[in-house]
Amino acid sequence: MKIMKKDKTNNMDLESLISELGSKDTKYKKMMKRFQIVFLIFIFLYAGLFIINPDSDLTIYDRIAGVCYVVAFTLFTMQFRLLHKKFKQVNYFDPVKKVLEEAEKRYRLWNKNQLLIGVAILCIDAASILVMFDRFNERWTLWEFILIVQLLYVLIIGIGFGFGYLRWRNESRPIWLSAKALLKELEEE
Amino acid sequence: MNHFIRMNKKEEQFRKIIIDNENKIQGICKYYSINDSDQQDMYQEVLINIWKSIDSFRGDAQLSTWIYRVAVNTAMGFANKEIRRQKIFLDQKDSSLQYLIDVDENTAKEKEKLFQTLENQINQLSVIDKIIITLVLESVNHKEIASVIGITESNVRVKVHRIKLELKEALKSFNL
Repeated sequence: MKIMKKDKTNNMDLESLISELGSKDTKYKKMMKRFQIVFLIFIFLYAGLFIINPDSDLTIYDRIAGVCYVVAFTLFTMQFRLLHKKFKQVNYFDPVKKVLEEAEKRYRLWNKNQLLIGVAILCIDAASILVMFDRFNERWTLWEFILIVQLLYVLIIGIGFGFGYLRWRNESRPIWLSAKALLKELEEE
Repeated sequence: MNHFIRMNKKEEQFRKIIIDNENKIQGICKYYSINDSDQQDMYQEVLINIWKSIDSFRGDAQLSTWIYRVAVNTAMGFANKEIRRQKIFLDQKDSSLQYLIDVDENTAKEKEKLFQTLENQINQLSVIDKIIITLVLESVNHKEIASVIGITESNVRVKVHRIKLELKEALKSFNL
């Protein structure tokens, strides 16, 4: 009896969480589409400003930085396209176990596909150094400048990850945990 | 023109599926609905989901299995935008309840109490166990339940056995 009483509380949580799956998937699908469009706009904007722009004030470093930005935004667009496709292709009418396995994968904090994002972040980092170096090279040496930019960049990226993690913890982690718990229950004999 | 032909074909296929499987869908819906109108709403929701996903049915499972999957997953709220209760409602007249409890030995008053307790206990089961028990009560065989859920037949057998034991134990502790 004790076990059943304990289960009652857990199950009610699990049930309400897992039933949010459909609405969360729809929400993220729309969000991924929006991000995809935003980064697509960035690609054209940065390509126009840094690569196509005939302005003679633009140095070779600016042009290379432009290429880095465009590569980074292309990688972001690709990543959001992949995620949008993933959320779009969810089939809720597969066997329960498969539905849960797919949900567990979708709502993980870290997927190996996100490596693309890491490369994109490095490209933006490189581009930022190239763009700013010309403007600050009289005040600092190259290494001082790189160190300062890196510290700032790591701080900004760290804050970004912090917010991302908090968002994941509040919104996705409960679904991920309940999917995991249900899968564990399914696998138990 | 091709679009209309395709739509007609889809509509025809849909109608046939519904006619052939109406009882199965209603059967699942009744466990998750408190009254007729609620049941009708859920039935409509299952039909909508069948219509939406009919193109994704590739025939890798039996049609009846797929219908049960759509019905169960809809009832459990996997595909819903709103949070569903996911509460099970039993019908006292349901003859399949005999599978879980021996009602003949009890008086009418005892039967009522037994039934209420059973319903409460089923609602305390986990989401997965609830799915299994509704399918068992719908007389779906273990092989098909395994296919609906995606686990092995032997795992289903073990789970059904455990659920029955749990329910019996719970009813015993209520002196029923």
